[in-house]
Parts: sequence; C-alpha cells; structure tokens
Amino acid sequence: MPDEDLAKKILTWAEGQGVSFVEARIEDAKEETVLLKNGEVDAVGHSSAHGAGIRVLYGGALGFSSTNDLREESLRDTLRAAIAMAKAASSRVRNPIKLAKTAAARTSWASRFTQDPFEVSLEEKISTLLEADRSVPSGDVSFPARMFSLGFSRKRKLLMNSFGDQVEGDSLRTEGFVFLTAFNPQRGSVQKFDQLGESRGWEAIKNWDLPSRTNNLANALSLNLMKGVEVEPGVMDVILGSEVSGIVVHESAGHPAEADRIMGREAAQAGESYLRPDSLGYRVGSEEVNVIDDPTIPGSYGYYLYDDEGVRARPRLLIKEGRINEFLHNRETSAALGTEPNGAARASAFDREPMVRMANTYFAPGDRSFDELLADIREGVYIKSFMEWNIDDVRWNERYVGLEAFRIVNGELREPVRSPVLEITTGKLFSSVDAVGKELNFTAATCGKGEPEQGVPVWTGGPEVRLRGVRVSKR
Amino acid sequence: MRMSLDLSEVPGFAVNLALPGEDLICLVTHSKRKMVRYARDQFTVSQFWNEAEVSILYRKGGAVAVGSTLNLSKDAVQNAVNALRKSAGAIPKRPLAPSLPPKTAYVPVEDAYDQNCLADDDMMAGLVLEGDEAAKKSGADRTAVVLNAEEVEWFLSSTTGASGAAKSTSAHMVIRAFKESGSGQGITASPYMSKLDPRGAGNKAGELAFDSKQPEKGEEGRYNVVLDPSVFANLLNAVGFAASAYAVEAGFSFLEGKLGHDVASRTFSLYDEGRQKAGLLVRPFDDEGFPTSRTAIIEKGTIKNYLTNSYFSAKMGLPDTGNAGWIEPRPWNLYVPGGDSSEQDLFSDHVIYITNNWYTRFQNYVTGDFSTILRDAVFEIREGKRVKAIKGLRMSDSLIRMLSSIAALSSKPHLIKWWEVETPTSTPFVLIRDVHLTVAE
Repeated sequence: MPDEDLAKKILTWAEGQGVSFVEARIEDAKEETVLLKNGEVDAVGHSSAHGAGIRVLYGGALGFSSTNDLREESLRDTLRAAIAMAKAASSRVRNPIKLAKTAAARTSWASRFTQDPFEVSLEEKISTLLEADRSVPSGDVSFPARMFSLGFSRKRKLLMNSFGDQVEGDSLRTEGFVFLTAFNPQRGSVQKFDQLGESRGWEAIKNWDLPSRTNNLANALSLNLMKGVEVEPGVMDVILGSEVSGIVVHESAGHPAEADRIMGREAAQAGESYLRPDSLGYRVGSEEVNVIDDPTIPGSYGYYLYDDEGVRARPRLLIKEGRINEFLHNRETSAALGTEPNGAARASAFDREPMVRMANTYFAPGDRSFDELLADIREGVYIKSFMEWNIDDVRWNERYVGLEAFRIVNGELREPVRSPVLEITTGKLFSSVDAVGKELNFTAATCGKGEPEQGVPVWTGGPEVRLRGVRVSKR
Repeated sequence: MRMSLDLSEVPGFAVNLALPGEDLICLVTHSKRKMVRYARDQFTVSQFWNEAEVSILYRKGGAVAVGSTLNLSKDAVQNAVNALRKSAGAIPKRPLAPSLPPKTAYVPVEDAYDQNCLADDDMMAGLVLEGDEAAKKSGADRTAVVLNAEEVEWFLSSTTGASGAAKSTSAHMVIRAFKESGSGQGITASPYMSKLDPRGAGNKAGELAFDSKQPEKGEEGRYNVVLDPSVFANLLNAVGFAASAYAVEAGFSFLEGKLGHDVASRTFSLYDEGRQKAGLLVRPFDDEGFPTSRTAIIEKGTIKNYLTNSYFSAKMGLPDTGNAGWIEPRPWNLYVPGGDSSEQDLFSDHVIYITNNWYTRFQNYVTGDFSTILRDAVFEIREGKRVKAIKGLRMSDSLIRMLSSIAALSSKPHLIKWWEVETPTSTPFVLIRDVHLTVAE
C-alpha cells in the first residue's frame, strides 16, 4: 500500500501556505499485457508505476502537480509547484472555486477476485490467446488480420485531504480485446472490435470463453460479409441491440450529464452539453427511457466504492421516465450548483486531476422479450452491434453504423444488412423509444475525456430497445 | 529532478544487466510539462508534471518483451529486467531478430529546444489572457483556452553500442471562442514559447465565432470543400497511422498492398519529418537508436514507404525509416508541402469551408470508410465571400476517395497540434472535390 506517512506530510507541509484545501493521492500500480497478432506473440509488456498527485485550492484557483519521485524533497517541490500554479491563476478569479465538503470518510475498498491474474503463468495466458486465434474458422471468408490481447492491472491508491478524508482503494482489472478483419475477394471486408473488461481476476477470462466468443464473432462477420444486403433507406422501426443501446446512453445521456461540461469547463476539448444547469426535469425522451450510472456494480469494469476525491459512490439515476433527473458531480461542480457531490470524480492515474466521469452507464431494462419487440414491426432493422460512431460536442447529433444487423419484416428477422446508418439527434432517438427489452447486457469500453487525455474503464449497457419511425440510411 | 539514479546513468546501468546473447535497449524519458486552462472568464486549473519513465526492450532470439517503470531505483530497474527476461523465456520465438543499431553519431535537430519554454507561471497566465482578449475583440462573447508547455529529455543506450541524449520542447495554445450559436477555434504552436501567437489565434477564433453566430441547418450532399489545416491535420493523423507497417499488418490500414501505387491526387505529397526544424518534441534517434530522418509516405500521389522499425523492415524487406516504436512504428511530424494556390484561390469557387472537426471514427480501416463531426464554424463560400454559416454536418466518406479528389493546396503549411491532432502536423489549406456531408434526422 502507498505510504500513509508521505500523504500526511504533504498535508502538513501545506499548512500555513495560504491554501484553503489540499489533497494528496499516492499510487502504486502494475500492469501486464500480452498481445497476439496473426497467430504470433507480438510482445509481452510489463509496467510498474508509483507517484503522487497533489491538488490545492489557493485564492479560489486550483493547482495540480505530480511526480514519480516519492522522496520528501521532491514531494515538497511538487507541492510548491501546485501552489505556485494556483497562485498565478488566482490573479483572475471571478467566481472563486469551492469544493463541497462531505462527512469525512476513513475507509478502504477493494475489487473482489478469486484468482490473481499476476500469479497465472505467462504460458497459460499465451495458450488462451492462441486457442482463441485457432477458433477463427476457415472457408470462403478468410481472416487475414487477427489481433487478440489480454491485460491485467492492479492499482493501490491512497487519498488524504484537508477535509479529513482518508480512503484506500485497491482495484484489480482484467481486460480482453479482439479485432478481426473478415475478407472475401468478391465481397470485400468487414471489421469488428470486441472489448471485454471486468474488475475481477483470472476467473473473468475463464467466463469469457474467448475461443467460442471469437468463433461466434467470426461467424457473424462471415454471415454479414457474404449475405449482407444494403438497406433500403427510409423511415422505419429499429431495434437497437444491447451493445448499441449501451453506447447510445453513454454518449447522449452520460456525457451530457457531466456537470463540468454543463458549466463549460471542458469547452476547449471534450466540449459542452445540450443540458444547462437548470435542465433538471427537462423532457428528453419517452417515458420508457430510464438511464442509470452506477459505479458500485460488483465486478464491473467501472467499479469503485469511493471516488478519487474520497466521496462515497452510489447509483445515479440520470434520466427518469424520459426526464433529466440528476447530473454527475465532483466536489467543484456540486458546490457551484448547490448540491451534494455524488461520487463521480475519477482520475485515470496519480498524475491526472480528478474530473467528472461516468462509471457503468446503462439503459434500464423494461419488461419485453425480444420476440415481443419484434412482433408488430412491419418493416425495420435490428442493429445488433456497431463499428463506426460519433457524436457532436454538445452530445446532440449522433451516428451509429451497424455491423451485425438484420432486416425485420412482419415481425421476423430476415437477411443480414450491411452498414445501416442511424444518424439522429438525441431528442429524436430518445423520443422514439416505445418499448424496452428485459435482458440487460454490458460491454466494456474505455471512455476518453480531459487534457491531458484520461482514458477510464467503463461499462456501457442496456437491453434491446425499440425505436418507432426513425430514418435509416446506408453508408 | 533528482532520482535514485541520475537519469543519464540509468540506460547504461540497465544495459549492463544484459547477459550474453541478450539484446537490451533502455530509453529514459524525462518530461516536465505545464498546462494552464481557462474557461468561464477565469483559470479553471493550472498543472505541472515532472516525471521520468524508464522503458526497456528485452530481446533474446525472436522473443520480445517490453517494460517500463516510474521507479528509478537500481532495484526497480533490475527487477524490470528480470521480469522481462523471465517473460521472454515463455514466448514462442519469432523467426526474425533483426540487428539493432551500432554506436551512431546523432546530429542534433535544429531549433528544437527552447530553454525558456517552461515559462514563468505569471507569463503563461498572461499569454492565455492575451488570447482571450483578442478573441473577444474579434467578436466572441466567451472563450475556453488551453496553453501547454513541455520540455522532454531522452537518454538511450543499447547493448549494440547505440547511445544518445537529446532534449526538445513544445508549446501550443488552443483558443475556442463562442458567440451566440457560433464558435471558432484558433491554434498557435512552436517549440519556442516566445514565438507563440496568442493574438493571432484569438483573432481567428473570435472572428470565426462571430461570423458563425447564427448558423442554418446544413443539407446532405456532395460538396467541394476547403479544409482548414486543423481539419486536414486530423485526417492526416489517420493517414500517418495507416502508414505504420504495424497498422498495415494488423488490418488498420487502407494503404495495405498499395506500395508503389497511386493513392492520392498528384498534387499531394506527405512526409514524415523525423528531424523537422522547429518541430515539436523532435529528436535525432528513434526508440531503437536508429537516426530519425525524412521519409516520403506519399509523393505526388504515389505511396512510397511504410513507416518501419527494425522488425518490420526485416519482415517486409523495406528500408528502416527510423520510426520505432518498439512494437509499433509511428510518425514523428507529418508534413504536407504547400501547393500552387493562394488561400484566396481555394475560396474563389462555390465551396464549403470546414474550420474544425472532431470524433473521427472508422467503419472499416481497410476501405478507409469513416465519418467525422464538423465542429465550430462551417461556411458556404461563394466567390470568396462567406454567404452562410452552417451547422449540424458530418463528413461521411472514404479517405481513399478523398485523397484522390484533392484538387488544390494553398502554398503555406501551418503547424497544428491540439487535442484532436496528436502527431504534430504541418499542412496547408486543401480543396477536395465531391466530399459527402450528411446530417442527422
């Protein structure tokens, strides 16, 4: 575990320096990655990291500094640098930054796992990837480019601040990645990423069953490549698969609910939001739309119990029955908007400032079976998975291009469809939801935000979701 | 910053841990970086990083393991080497183990280092305020600004005798300005903090925001477009990535199988300038210790080279271009030479002027099918005049088709570096025919 005495010293050194708040985060981390490309082990990577990040509030301005040299002399320099940066910025303070205080937390949390992946032999990890690679079928469709990776990370972190919080976190994550290119000389190519991630140990790899998962993916790509037809553009009903409904709520419900965007802090990079500070209660979709972000789901990729400001995590109901219900907050945004922080501050490493982030964002399930969703669709498309997607920087104008997709005719799934395009606004999409499936599934993703960039692990999730009367076009 | 080991001594210490028959490269990267961010008419956060990382490549026969540590103690470096040695022993050998470079006399890159780049905190705050003020004088209501300053030094040694040290700097500022429903962005970048032009970047951002304050919804169609250097630089980053031999082999490249073939208009050339004078964070050696150099990726429309390291050079039978990346070769600085047109010439016809973009994503890397969101000001231009600001558009096309449809380039490249342009890129304005723009329902 990181050295508690060092964190205490940093807080002590800050006394009498004119700062109204100081926070010290010290981390020890290690990672292992195994990469297999086209049947060959490309490389094995190991990394270890330790360091400290110090954040201060001086004269209403925030300063942050970090170092990987944990000797006292260096930490004193790091604290001085954070104060000096904040001091220079304090010359231009219109609305002094405040940080909301919560009841002091003195606690610890940890990911639960059965088998430590760092204790599993490298031979077994390589064997797992080779078996997955061998599961790719041969036939009319070849797979000239095949990439697989496994990754494991363990991060022990200690946070102490002048509010009296002292939180130790111990997170273990296991990650997998598959990227396949399917090719046929007459039909061209299709490609698909498959990302997996959980806050569990080696047992996650066993559960994933990479060989059968890879075989299923390869067969799905082959079917789409060889049998897929172009969609006839027009207005129709659409069923979004779990992977798609998950990315939809991540992009157009989770990101716009980040209060730092709403307040304009990220405008030069990740952008702003279609929501405003007074948007709570705003109707953005039908009553079928309920969206939750929950860091506390055991084993989830975005799992944590206390955030990187020491605030206890809890589920956040972002959209309730179609109306904006809650924003994601850190201490700064909650103070500015007069509410309580809700545990959404995350830092990707010791050398990054905590900022407002999602954890595991999902479209809350309804009560329909997939057959019930299909039943009264006369003409439509089922978009099971996607490849290309993007959304504008206020999170309103978005696009999802289907990968695995099928035509729906008179309540039945028909032939595969290649690259159907759903290019739509957030309001139109959420307003078009008329029924929601009951089977909730999650997909792992790495969410990017901030400058310097901070990629954090998240789950996106949802059930199958039906949209009525939306425009579908072809690529 | 003092570490357990003096930084310059770490590579030699690590390399001396190699046993007979083992190849080892050690690269130490020491970065000092400051960033000042501004929005809502005040500084939102000011940051300083001081970090040194030890990276080690271990190779025995055809087995490769790579590692890194932020702990610079002798024990940590020894442990890292031991872990890599153990891992490499478990890896099936690849048939290729190409030679690493011998002792090489590296020629320093000109104008790469500014000893004053990590400016005084008050001076950095002042530059940000200067940019903000310029944007507002040009018509903006508000801005968001970020100013980056970075100084990096590298120390490298290998068991084959390569040994080098270098340091260089980077400063860049991005100003995003807003006026009603309009917005615009300006960028200034240089290895020298004193050569940044916050006023020029602010003026551009403010003017674009003002002129786009009341945009109308765009219509889907194929248009002749002029891409601002910011936009083309973002797309060229995707081309640079696709030119990596790694991307070619892994299915991430639309340039696969096209060496020697025409992939772009003859008016277009693209180079990786490994030693770009006055480039950002330029250095004279790559991660393997091979000298960096100028590499033609596309020359007069024909693809000339993939970017390689020693492994891909040997495997593909291509020249080593000095672009290691131990696992993945990558471009250093992308450069597009200026064309024959003035910037005014490009706007003389009926075109759509796209000033910024973000969120570029591919449906298929092999075919180059992608889309990207048009961000900030977009204008319909007729005979050089901005007749209308447009909103809600997305570029949905193929990079292969777009490169082949380049009609003209302006004469002066502009250096671009920002959040959506990771590899510094110098490019002029470009006119591309029949680009597909789409809109959301």
